[in-house]
Amino acid sequence: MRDIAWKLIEAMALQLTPEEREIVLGDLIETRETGWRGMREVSGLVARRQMQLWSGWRPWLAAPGLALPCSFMLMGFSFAISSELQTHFAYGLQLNLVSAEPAEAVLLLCQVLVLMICAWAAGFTVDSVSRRTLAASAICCFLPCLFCLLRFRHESLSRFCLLFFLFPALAGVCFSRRGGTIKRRWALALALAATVCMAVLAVRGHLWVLNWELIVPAWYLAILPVRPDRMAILRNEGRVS
Amino acid sequence: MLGEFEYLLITVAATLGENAYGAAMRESIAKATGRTCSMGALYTTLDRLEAKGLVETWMGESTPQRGGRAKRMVRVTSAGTAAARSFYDTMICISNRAPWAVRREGAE
Repeated sequence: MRDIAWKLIEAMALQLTPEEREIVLGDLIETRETGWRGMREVSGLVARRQMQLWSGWRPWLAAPGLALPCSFMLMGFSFAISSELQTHFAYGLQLNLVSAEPAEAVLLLCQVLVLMICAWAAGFTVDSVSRRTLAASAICCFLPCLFCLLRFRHESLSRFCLLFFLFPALAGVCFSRRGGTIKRRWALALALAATVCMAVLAVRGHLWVLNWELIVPAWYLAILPVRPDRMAILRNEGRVS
Repeated sequence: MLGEFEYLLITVAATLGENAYGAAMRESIAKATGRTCSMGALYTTLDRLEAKGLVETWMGESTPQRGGRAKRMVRVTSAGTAAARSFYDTMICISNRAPWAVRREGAE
């Protein structure tokens, strides 16, 4: 029983910085707290630390500011791409883009590029803006997914096609978690590519005006790249392993 | 001016001297007040005091009774001592005429 309680305490303490985790777990061992009391102590500290985090602007930008709206809009792109691809599949086996109109192929390519770039940039930005509230950002991302999955009604498409955007988004989060940085010229190139693709889609009437928010993370990376000194600060704070 | 709990922490840290760290401070507070002090309250208040320059903290050595884990050592700065003295003087001064205050010899 005590082992299980200790495992739970250690799991909860993962929300703390490595230094504070060591201090807190050391205190619990020294004072020989019971499992239940130890859990109460650690959860109390974690709750206070989380509340402190939310007193700043970063978690608000990352979770309800980016994760929530981007999730909704990227699901729209995922659905649009799935529908387009379905129309281009000949007998469900072979991608038959060659026979499609060139303009349609360009539009599909633009949608795919926007989805890949914007989802990756959103994942990277959400994690790098507020690393320690990633769980809350993930909830803000998954709630719209759940809402749409439950209401999805389409005869020939699986409801899981809405979740295509999660692959590049998770890749962006993982890249940021590993302390990855992107060079300014690459970030600029990605932001420009996403903007051009969105402009093409807008001209052809395939873009909702609010979808322009999707390029914010890409331009955030281009204008405010994560500098090496910023990474050093994050490492010292224990936010990057 | 310090808050009540901030004063308590500074006083306990000053009393413990070189042995002032989280677990020892919690134990002293529990003995003195008869109430347990949560880790959340202790460490967030220590952060606030450190930000105000009233205490200094650093990672101490790890010991076997802590499972080889380090302590967060605490030292009261001169600004912390001055703030605690000011709080103490204010409390003594304002309590002087209170019905529950023990009259000292020579006091009005």
